[in-house]
Amino acid sequence: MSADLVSGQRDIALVDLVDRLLDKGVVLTGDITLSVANVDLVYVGLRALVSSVATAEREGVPLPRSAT
Amino acid sequence: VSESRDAGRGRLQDALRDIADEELAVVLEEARARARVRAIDIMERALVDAIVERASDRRAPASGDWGETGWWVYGVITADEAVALPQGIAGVETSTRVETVAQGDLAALVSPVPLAEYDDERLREHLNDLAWVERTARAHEAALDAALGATTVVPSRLCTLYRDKDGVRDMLASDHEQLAGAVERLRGCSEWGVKVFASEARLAEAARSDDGEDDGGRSDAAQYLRRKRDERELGERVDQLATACARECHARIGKVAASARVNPPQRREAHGHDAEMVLNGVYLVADAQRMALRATVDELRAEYEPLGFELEPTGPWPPYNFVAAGESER
Repeated sequence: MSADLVSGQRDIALVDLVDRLLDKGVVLTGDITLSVANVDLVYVGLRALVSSVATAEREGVPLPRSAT
Repeated sequence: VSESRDAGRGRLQDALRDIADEELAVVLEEARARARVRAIDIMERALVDAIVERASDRRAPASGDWGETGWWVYGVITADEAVALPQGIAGVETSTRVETVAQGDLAALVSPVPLAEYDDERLREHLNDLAWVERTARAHEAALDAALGATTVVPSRLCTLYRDKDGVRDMLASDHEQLAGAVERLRGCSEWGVKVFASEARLAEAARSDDGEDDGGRSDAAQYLRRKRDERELGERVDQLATACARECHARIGKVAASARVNPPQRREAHGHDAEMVLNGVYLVADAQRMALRATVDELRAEYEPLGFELEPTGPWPPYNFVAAGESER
């Protein structure tokens, strides 16, 4: 990794990892865990701990939306 | 005359035949030497394949406590880039290695896992076990990081699993259009995150500084009402300042990005800063634009950090936020 913005980079926060790895990334056809991964129940415990997806609206945090 | 001409032609043919015989011997010798080299080459490759296959067979414990093997998919690359991958990238399961499964012009990065650990019940347990999630997520990310320097990867989500390699190949075939398009779109780019935090106390200070009216000479009631109004106005001004900063940061970083998106801010317990997250932006940036990104972040820091904001860039990341086409927010 060259020219990183943060020196001593890749000291990755778990919350950043979880937000990406569980919520983003490509969803592929025929993946056998898909049925489980989209069970909300699984996710709820995890999200309560580390993520915040629903908090934006609740707390009225100013979110810059697309300018267009 | 014609008789001597025939005799001459006969001698010429004899001479040519002699030369051909000599050449044949030389050619045969050379062909034999080249055949030897090619045979060695072919056998060398076959032997390498056989050794690698044996090695991967041995990874799964032979005792049977591993049980049925499934294939964990880290992401997808183009098949021609598979040779560029570093050797021996560690898989999510201890002592496994990442390998490729190719189908047409695409290849998936995979490693073996015990299927029994990923049935509905076990997976649910795992996903509710933060230590498991952290260990697994870091291993998945580390494998992709290792691949990232050498290839363009379309990263998959955690726990993307197939029962066998044929299942992986079927996926590569049926998702071909989406995946091939994504690889092309992401080539030469990395994902970066920029979070902006606002310290409310310092923001309020900045907002208050241009508000120096004197309360002297007013009645208590009037002072009280005025303070109430000031507090409300101050709160509004702080919100406006935070919104303006978030918009400005996102717009300016977006200018050096191929694609830009805003994710919901992380909550305070999760990000651990003593400040509110006012922007959680993600940017797909061409590697050639890295310095421009850095310069933009530095400029924004210089402008906004004195007001009580903090910019936190992260990256480079596999482009998790940009695997789907379109939806770019600029």
